[in-house]
Amino acid sequence: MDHAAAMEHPMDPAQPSPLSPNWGKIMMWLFLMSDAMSFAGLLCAYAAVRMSNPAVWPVPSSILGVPLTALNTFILICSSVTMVKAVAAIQKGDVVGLKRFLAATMVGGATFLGIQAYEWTHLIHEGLSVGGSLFGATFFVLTGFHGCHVLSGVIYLGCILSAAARGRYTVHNWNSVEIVGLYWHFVDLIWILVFTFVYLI
Amino acid sequence: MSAAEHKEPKYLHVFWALLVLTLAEVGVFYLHLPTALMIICLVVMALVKAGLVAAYFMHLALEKRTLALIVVSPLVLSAIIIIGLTPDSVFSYPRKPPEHWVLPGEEEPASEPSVPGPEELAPPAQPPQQAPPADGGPA
Repeated sequence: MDHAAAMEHPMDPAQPSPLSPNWGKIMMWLFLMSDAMSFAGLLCAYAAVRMSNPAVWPVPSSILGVPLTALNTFILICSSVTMVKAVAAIQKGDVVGLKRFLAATMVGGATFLGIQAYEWTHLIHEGLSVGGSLFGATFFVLTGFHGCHVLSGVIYLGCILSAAARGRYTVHNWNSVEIVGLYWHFVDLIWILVFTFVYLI
Repeated sequence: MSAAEHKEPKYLHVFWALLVLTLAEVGVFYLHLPTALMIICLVVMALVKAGLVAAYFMHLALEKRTLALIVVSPLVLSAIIIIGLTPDSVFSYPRKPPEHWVLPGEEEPASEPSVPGPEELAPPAQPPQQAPPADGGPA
């Protein structure tokens, strides 16, 4: 009987977030794990190509701008904080707060993309290209794959925001907000690793 | 377990930790430490940051333990595969191809063996791989 009661209100925040009724969340986690394997493959390819071609590998910071990218990392971390604030707001039933924090998260993601576009433009003008060097190939593929994730995330957040503006989320129904949060934090997590491995090391 | 969702973690504390670690990473980068030490410091700090994001922002530490097992076990397996394959894929990567390989744009050395004469045709039972090493010198 207890189980049946739980099935009637799968989104009830009073429930202890059991694994079985919350398929959306566990499916997002499984997707993120497969995505993590893609990024692991790209990062390992970067490491293997770099370590087996030390003679033609530049010091990354001689080409890339570390301070600007550190700022970009900071912006992405801030957007993760506004994302958790959005989830916390709707868990308390604060729809206005949800919309504000979701919009702030989108602004953070869009700013990240803008700075990355500026950086890419600068690097391309300096002659870095996918076909020109091993460093350029691995750099553009890695940061481009991550940038596509940020772009998808901003669009995904926009969908959730428009649903929130139509009054879809309440104190009893915020599962989708938490799931978009998982995706967004994952994109932040990956950038932390990419920043360290590609820009700093 | 318990009503995990309502034990809201101190998100701002996590944020400050991430900020301090990011600044520490950039600081270590500008310190120009010995390469190995710098790489170890940076990797450890990056993994701590990633762990903080997963544990608190993604609520992995507050969910049922089963979810954490589902998430972490494939990462452990992939780390084992990566570490196991590193010696072959990175450190002993062949700098030069073996001499008997024909690379694109090079002459086919297989055309030469016809020159030595018909007496070479007597033992055809040998596998064809035997021919190129005899010719490897001039190539």
